[in-house]
Amino acid sequence: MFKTSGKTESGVPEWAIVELQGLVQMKKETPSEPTTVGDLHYYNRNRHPVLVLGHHVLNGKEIKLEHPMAVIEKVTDNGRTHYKVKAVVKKKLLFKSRPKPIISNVADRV
Amino acid sequence: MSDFPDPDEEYELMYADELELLREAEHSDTAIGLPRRPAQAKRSLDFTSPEPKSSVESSTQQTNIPCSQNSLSTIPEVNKNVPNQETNDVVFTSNVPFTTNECYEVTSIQTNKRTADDLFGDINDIDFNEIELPSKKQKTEEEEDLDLINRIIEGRKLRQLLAEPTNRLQSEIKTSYDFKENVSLNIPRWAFVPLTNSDGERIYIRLESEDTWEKALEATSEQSSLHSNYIGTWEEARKILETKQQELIQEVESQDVQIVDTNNNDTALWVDKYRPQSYLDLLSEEPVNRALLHWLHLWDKIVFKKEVKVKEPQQKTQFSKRAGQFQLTNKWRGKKEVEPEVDEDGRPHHKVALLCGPPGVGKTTLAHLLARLAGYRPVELNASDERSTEAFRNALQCATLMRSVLDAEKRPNCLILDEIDGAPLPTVELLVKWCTATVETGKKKAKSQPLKRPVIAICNDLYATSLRPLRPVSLIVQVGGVSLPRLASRLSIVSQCEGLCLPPHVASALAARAHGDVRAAIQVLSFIKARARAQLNMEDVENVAIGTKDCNKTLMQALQSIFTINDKDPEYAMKTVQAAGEYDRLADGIFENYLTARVDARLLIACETMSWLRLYDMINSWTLKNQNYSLYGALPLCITRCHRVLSSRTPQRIKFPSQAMEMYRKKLELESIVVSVWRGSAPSVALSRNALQLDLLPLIPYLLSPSLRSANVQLCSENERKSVRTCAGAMCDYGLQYIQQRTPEGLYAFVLEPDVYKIAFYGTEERVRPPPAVRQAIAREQQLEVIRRNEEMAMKSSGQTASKVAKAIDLKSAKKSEVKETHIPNHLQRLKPKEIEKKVPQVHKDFFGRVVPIQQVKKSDAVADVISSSNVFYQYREGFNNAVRRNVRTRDLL
Repeated sequence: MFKTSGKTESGVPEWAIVELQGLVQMKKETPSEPTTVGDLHYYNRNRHPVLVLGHHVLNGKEIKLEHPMAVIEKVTDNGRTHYKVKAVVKKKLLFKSRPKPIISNVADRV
Repeated sequence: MSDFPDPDEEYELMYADELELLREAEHSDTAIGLPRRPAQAKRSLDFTSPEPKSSVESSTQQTNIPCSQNSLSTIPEVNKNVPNQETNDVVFTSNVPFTTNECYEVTSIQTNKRTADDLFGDINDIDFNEIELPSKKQKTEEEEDLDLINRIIEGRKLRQLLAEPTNRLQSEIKTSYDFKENVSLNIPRWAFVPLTNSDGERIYIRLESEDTWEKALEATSEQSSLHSNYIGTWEEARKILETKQQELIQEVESQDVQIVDTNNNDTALWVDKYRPQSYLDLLSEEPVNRALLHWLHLWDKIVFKKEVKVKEPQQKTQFSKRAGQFQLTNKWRGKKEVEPEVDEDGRPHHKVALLCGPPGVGKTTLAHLLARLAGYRPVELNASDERSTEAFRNALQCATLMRSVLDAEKRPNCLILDEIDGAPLPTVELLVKWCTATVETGKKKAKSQPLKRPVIAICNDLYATSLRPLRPVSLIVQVGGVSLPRLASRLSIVSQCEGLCLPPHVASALAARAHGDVRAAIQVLSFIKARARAQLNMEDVENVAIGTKDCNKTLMQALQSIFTINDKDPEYAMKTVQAAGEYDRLADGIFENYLTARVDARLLIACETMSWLRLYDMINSWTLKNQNYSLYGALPLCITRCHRVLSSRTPQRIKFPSQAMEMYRKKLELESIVVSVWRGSAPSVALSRNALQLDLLPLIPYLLSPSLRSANVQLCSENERKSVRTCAGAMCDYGLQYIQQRTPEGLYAFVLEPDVYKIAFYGTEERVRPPPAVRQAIAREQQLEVIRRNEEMAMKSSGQTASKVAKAIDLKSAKKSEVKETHIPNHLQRLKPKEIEKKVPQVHKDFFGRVVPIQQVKKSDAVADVISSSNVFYQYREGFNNAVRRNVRTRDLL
């Protein structure tokens, strides 16, 4: 899984990898229009990333990549090919713990 | 006897020349060359003729050669060897110069020495003590000849040694000599018997007159016959030893005569005089000395401002302070002396050294010497000084904070507290406080200053109660008794210095007797010397009455001695018994062990022992009753008589007398039970104590244990309930009670108080006791009974009103029973179904109590459904994320 999260630094935007242990699935098989997958609350007060995905809350952590990566774009201009650096990836957000469910539809009196 | 010109001697002199010539003819070839010859010549010189010599040298022998011819001459001959005046000899020598020539040639002494030699020529036959005087006189006169004379005397004495005590030996020499005299190849002048041997040679053997023969026999039977027993031999042997010893002393005396003279004058105790002067003189064990010296040196930093060498921890053999000896510290076990020797102030960890040991082993001496050795001035404070707290504080301050002005060497003090175990407890506590005080900066500085000088405390009994506070803060050095050989050698040195003859075996006996107590041993020595004895024998050591300490024997030692035969010292048991004291406990011990002491099928031994013990008891009780202690001395005798009866050779384990005490305790306990029952019993059942004890108490337990089929009183029959009731009544009557007590296991048990079972059954009561449940029932019943009785009492006192109340209570209970009876009996009752309350559908109400419609409620719930209604959901994959990772291409994402 690869998802980016914007952050600028000296002109080049810095992205981050989001790594999930699991699958993000759709209820309906209609991937026509773009849909919001979830909310990434980048940092809560423990400086941990929290991802709300469907009715799950995932707590992750930020890991610095061993090898920083660059996201580049191949541009073909007048027969000449050059690569444009779109973003730099230095860290990833790893969500590997078991997700917690969000229970919303609860009766008032149990 | 000293009359020189005796007619008989004149006679001898007449014959002397002839006989001498005869002898010369026979032995001229062998005589001169022999080393022993000069001595013989001297002898001959003494008496001017060989015949008198032979008769003189051993008057006991049968060799009265000239006497056979003239029996008259024998008596003066015999007598003559005793007096021997010097002048006599001188005259003799002048008379017979030619015989002495040989002697002069051999010895080759200067002429003036020769006179000395002649002067002492006869001395070897005189007793030593007699010779001492003239020789000393000589010393004063001729100083330069002193040593020579001594040498001569010694030589003489050696000869005398060889010759005199061993008469038998000499007699053998004599016979060989007589052989030559009495047997001749030629026809002799005297009466003879001819003999012809196998070779045909004829020998003439002297015939002796009967009376001389008898006389000779008499003489010999005195000393060398079979009748002589070993005592004589023993005396001889001792004589030899003692004279040897004397010789040694003589040598010492001749070496330092002046010292001996001064010693005789002064009156100092020998113990003080021969106090060890250097470290090497110390008799105590080396580790002990070292431990104390090491500790003293630890003070160097604070006293002398000198750096102390602290031992390297890597050292292999370390000096263990605790054990007082060198120990191999084992690094493998990680056993290290954690205890630092020096604290942060630079003072030793232990502020006080506590020397302990039996009296007389040299603790005080050791402390003094080592303190001096370490550079201190020892200040002693002992039992003769006042030891109240005030005085002690004063002394402590003087010793530790001040310095002697008079002392030229300006040495710091070292306080030595002798016999501290006799000091009162507050004093010791003060010392401890003083020692443990640390440096305090501030206002209290003047009050408590830290100890800056070493303090050595000396005690006999380490475990005295007054020393309890001191023990943990002090370095304890145990000084043991001096070993036997060392003490013996020291004793012999002392006796040598004092000119006292102390044979080695006597020295060792004395040392053994002292039990390692140097002081006692030396005092015995000086005591014997004071009785003007220059010679110490075994008997002196054995018989001397002083010097034995009041030795303490333990009870068990005394008991052991009572039950074992001691062959060496039949009085041993008596002594030990007297030393042990505590006759009562000894008697107890005998009583406890006498049945197992010896095989005693008919109990005769037991009977006799008992009779002695009975006597003991009689005397003891009489003594205690009348407070008259005149018969007290007989108590150990009774005990020792038991020893006579009971002692055996088989070793046996003796039990410590504890039974008597135990039984006494038990008796007290039981009596207290009886008394408490007696006191607690109600007036209605009151009995005399004896009757209670004998008639009632043995039977009460049967009353107190009713036989119930089950512990639940409600289930019991009327009869059983009645028995419980009687039981409770009895308990109330006799003041007995079941009390709940917590057992060590944590359970609660009902215990009868006071416990009459113990009195009734003497140990077998456990079977009769009722089981715990029954006990509980009885306890409950008893409590009810108590209440009942109290009510009765109240009723009796308050008369009718009480009866009314009782009636009212009865009425109430009757009513209650009526109410209960209106209930339907169980077998008629029917089960009724329980009414179930029907549920009213829940109505939501808002804050003001208005009913909210259900739809609305549901709507409000649906608001939160946004999250769950999103069509993206997440499916978690369990496991490590390495296992589920898969490659994703950028293309898929963009």
